[in-house]
Amino acid sequence: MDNKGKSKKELIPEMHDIFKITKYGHIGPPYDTQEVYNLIEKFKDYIPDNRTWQGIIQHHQPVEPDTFLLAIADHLAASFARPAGTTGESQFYVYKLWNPPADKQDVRLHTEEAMCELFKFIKKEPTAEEFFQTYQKILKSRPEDARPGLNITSLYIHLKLTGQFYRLLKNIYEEDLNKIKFTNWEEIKKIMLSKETQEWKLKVIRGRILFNQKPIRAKDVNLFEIITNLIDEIKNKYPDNLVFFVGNEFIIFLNKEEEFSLIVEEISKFGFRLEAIVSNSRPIHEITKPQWILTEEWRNYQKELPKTLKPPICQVCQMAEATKHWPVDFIFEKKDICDKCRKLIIEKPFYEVFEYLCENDREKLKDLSEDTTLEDLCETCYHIRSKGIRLLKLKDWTEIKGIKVIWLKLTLDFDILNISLNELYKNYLNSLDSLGIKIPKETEIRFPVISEFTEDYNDFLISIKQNINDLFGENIEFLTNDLFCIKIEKLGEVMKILQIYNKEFNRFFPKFKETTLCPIKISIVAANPKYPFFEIWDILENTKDDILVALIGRGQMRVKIKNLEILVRAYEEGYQFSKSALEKLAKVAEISEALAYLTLKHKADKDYKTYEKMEYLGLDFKSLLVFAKIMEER
Amino acid sequence: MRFIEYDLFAEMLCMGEREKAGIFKPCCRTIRYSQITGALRHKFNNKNLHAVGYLVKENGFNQIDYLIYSPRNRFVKISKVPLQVEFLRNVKGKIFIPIVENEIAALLPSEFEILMGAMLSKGFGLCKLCKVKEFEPKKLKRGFLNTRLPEKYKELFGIRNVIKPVYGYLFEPDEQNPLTGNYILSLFEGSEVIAPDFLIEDKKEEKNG
Repeated sequence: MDNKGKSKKELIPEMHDIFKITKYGHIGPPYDTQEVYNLIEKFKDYIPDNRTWQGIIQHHQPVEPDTFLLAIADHLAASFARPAGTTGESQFYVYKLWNPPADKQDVRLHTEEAMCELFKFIKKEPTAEEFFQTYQKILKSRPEDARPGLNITSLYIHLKLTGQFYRLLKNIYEEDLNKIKFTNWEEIKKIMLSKETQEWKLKVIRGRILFNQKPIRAKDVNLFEIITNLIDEIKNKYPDNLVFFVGNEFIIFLNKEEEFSLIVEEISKFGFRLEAIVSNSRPIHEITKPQWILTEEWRNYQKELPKTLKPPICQVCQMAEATKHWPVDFIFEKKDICDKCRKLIIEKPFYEVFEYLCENDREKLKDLSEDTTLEDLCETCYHIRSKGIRLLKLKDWTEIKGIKVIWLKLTLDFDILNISLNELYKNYLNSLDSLGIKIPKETEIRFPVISEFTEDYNDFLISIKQNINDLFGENIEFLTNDLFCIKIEKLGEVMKILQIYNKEFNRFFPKFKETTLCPIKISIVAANPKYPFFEIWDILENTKDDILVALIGRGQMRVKIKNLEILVRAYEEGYQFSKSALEKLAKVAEISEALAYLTLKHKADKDYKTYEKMEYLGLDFKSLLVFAKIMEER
Repeated sequence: MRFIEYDLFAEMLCMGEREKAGIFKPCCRTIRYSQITGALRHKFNNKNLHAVGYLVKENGFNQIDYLIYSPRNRFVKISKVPLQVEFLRNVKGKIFIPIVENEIAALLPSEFEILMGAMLSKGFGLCKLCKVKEFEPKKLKRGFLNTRLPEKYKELFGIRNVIKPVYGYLFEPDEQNPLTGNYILSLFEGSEVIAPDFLIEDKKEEKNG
């Protein structure tokens, strides 16, 4: 729940580390120094008498329920379990594993005036949102933990997660919290450890919303919007429980079995199924490590399906009895047509009814008259279809001769993300090791790092969308944040998209070009606008390649992210292929790849010069052929 | 349970994915229970026949092709909107028939022909089946199902456990009147199961652009 509109007397957990944006760092026990005492003394008139201030000074040694809870939330939202024994000077910049900063400035507040401003701000008793807005720049560039090697998440993410965990635990354990007897700090410390490691538990659910059957027609792409809306609904209902969501995937912490059942029920309502890893209830200190989720088994969750269905079956989902006729029922239910025409719709055969309608209604139903396919639909699919045709431009593009459309999908693989982040983290620690800085090796990636990454990934999607919009303008249909349809004249325009992708990838995630695996994938399918959507979706959905370009009927190009730079450069420099040399090689490869490889290396071959140039692109033969086709249509 | 394995060959096969779904008629990429069982029962007039199958992934076989045609409604004398029908050329598949009773083995010759799928009047669907062997599956394997079969018959095909089902519905004709029937809950390809290895997909098929 957002703090907007909440009583200012309530503790705002997001502000507990506010002094980390200053040169003082922590205030309150056990960190109080003479310098801190002097500071408090100087600004004592600005110190508010509220719960939030108690949180600021007590969260390391709580003496009452709210600050006790805050201390636990603070632990959960930490990137690491506070390892001891690190060496080296503090580094007050965030070292993003996927995009280390070029600018290593310390932007914390240092001056007397800035401190005065900060105390005045605290005195106003701001909301969390006001705090984030006012100090966003510092919060995003100051690490939560400034020790070298631990400076990999921002204070911003840490504070946001602390707020989430605080409210989440408060909702579940408030009663238990009020039973705690606050005696002395040593006792409280023991109780805290017991709550974190044994008593307080949560279930972790990693879920993906999937179609039971593939979306068959472009006119039903409303389904993608519904998946986005479903995740938004989960987010609205459990704002503090949801810790990750990208595309159709999410990770949520839940307390009760019933909460999970409600989510499954909601998802099933639209004919989707939930594929999920559902943990047993685990002590809260374990749940923020994503590693164990990767080893668990995926299961399917959906409402119980009927053993038999009476025909006709819904032609879209094929999972329910069809009770509606599209578009006859839809037209009949329309309120803005006259009674006479409404009657005609059910009396006359559909393919000839438009001749008999009044001019006014014929004009209103023009779009539907062009779609002469009659379909039997279930209630759910009918409801989705009735929301209107989502891809209006695509409908127009099907009328234009000689054009193609590109379907573009960006995907994030959460499993690979974990592997890659751990690999990058190891590399970072090794680089520090060579500088003589020691970090305990126990350290592993936790959710705050994932959350930090997700923020950047969402910005990356927005930026890609913006760039593509600038380039193709009116010729785009945006289905979701990561799924677009673009009208193109020439196949060469695929390379313009890869140019944008490469530029933005370098801006946001340059380090993923160095990892063994890349967690971000892009798949592009170029096809005739009338080409069946379900075939396109099959390719977009199942890609395992970093970059996949499929030209329907002409082959696929698979590119590793580390070779994209070279490929884009080849495009920019107008790389010329000898088509016959390429085709010869492809024919040889069909018989034997080993023989093709020998041909490629055979210096006496008359096409050796072409092969030599091609090899550095890092593509296999089939991909090279597709690249050549794209280059031909620049 | 013992099974009979057949190789299935056909020049052109159109196993419609759906009755009607717009102007494009996709072809199923596996040989589902309802299709092969229906064809076998029709041929041998035996209600105890059950079968499933899949398409092999060998070079040169099961190539996708398209046919555009406009079906004519003879009653109203109007040709409908042209349809694009997906079909397979040079088809090779594997068929597995459980020997639920001794007569089944005796009933099925080592080679025979059946008609299966759509557009039979256009010359599609003539399949030749050649017996490969009779066998008792020894190895159970965990993996992804390569066919579609009714959930109620999963034991008949030796599926021990369904770990992650992908559900769909298959048509089951009424015994008295095969022109009517119901759709029954079925396991679709991609379901994660523990089953005899002939029901398990080798690895995920790569789609061609």
